[in-house]
Amino acid sequence: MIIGLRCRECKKEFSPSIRYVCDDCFGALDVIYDYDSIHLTKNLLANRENNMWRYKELLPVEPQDSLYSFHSGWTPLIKASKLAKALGLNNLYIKNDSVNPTFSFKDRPAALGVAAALNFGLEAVGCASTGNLAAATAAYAARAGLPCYVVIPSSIEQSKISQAQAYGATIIAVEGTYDDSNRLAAQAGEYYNIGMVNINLRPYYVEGSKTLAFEVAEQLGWDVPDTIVVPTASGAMLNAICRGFEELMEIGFVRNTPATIVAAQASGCNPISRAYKEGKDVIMPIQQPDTIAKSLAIGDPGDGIYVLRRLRNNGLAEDADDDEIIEGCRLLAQTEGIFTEPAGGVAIAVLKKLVEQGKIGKDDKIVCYITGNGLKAPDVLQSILPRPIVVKPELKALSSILLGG
Amino acid sequence: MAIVEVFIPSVISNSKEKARIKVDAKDVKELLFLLEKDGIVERNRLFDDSGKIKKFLNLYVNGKRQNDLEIQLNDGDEVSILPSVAGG
Repeated sequence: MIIGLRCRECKKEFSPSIRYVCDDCFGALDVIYDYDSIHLTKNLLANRENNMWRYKELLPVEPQDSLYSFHSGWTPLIKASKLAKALGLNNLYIKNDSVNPTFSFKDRPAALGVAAALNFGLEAVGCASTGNLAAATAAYAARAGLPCYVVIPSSIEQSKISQAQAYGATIIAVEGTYDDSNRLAAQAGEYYNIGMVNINLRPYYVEGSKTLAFEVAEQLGWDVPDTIVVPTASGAMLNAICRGFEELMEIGFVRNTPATIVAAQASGCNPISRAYKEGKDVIMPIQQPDTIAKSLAIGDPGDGIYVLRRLRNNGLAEDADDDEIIEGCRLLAQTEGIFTEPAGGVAIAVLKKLVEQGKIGKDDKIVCYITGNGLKAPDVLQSILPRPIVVKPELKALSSILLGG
Repeated sequence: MAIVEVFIPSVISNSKEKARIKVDAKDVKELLFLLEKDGIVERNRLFDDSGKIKKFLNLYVNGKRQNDLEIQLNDGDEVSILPSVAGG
């Protein structure tokens, strides 16, 4: 179903291979499909298993059995009535992607990246990560029987490191930022012949996040939201979600794409929302990101310029500071029972801001993507949560608590 | 002069093979001149018509991104020329 790879800038085409930039202009490469040869129907889909591979015709690699059987994707789309009421909205959904096998959306691209590595006969995989991808790549590598090398900034949450280590990955913690880690991982991939899923296998890897659009459309009965709110770091996921909706239109499954795309960033690392708000056409990297939303702390977003172009066409960008992020996490947990890591708090906080600014209509059909689980960064809420009430093991000790006395 | 180690990925090198070589150069400008002279990388692969490093390429000295080609090099420095790496 895939024809090859195409440069996003100069449009030069390449056969499918381990290649991630154009050899002429060094632009990023995207997978290209022969849509005319795709004979997917809604009826066909109705009989398939509920996982991300149900859309295999629109993915670049077929999964090996060990990867298919992990049940990645097809996470719940929840009508969030209580949160909607709190925000003054009438038609809000949460795509709860924090309940994937490794508890973030990164299961989707990591699955494609590791599947591609196996297809190309690579003997090791790895990634540069702010944490979530580390765990996802490590888990899929474990299932595939490949060693995994993860390059991370040394500042990321211990819980994410522990998760990746538990799956058997070797963790290389870099004294520097995510962008330093990313560069080092790129070199390691080339010099040691490692399939770095988000670098030298990137054209295949990013395709996994398109399933976030496919699932939402299918779960809405093949309808498309008016507005989507997407936590944004490198911009790869936002781009992939948009392309997912565009592909559904291309094959005739939906009649339109979302009218408004919202990129939600942390104020402590907001290169895309800053460029958007300042009316600039270039992204100025944030040299030293400083936010509790560590999974969004990418100062030099590789897909930032492409996100910015989309936003200029039909989108919005906003950012939220640490207090607003924590409040976003609290609000989501206490209205909908979904415990998210700070990146999810960013999405809720930005949605709240845009509603207050009158930029999102209260009757819009909105889907807010929650992409990481709160158990990955449980400490961030502690500053606003009460300490447990310590009592003696006596019933009378409860009266002042339970009766409010 | 300074002996520095240079990393060139396959997508940039003339031979289409990655390279990791030692070069004796006083600054980045001279280093690039020598790389071209030795047939390792052509300057027009790295620079646009205005003489700036191409939009999707970055040059690093000891892990720090540099745009200044006059920057002095010291013994043991590590120089890399890499395509912009999309992360995340």
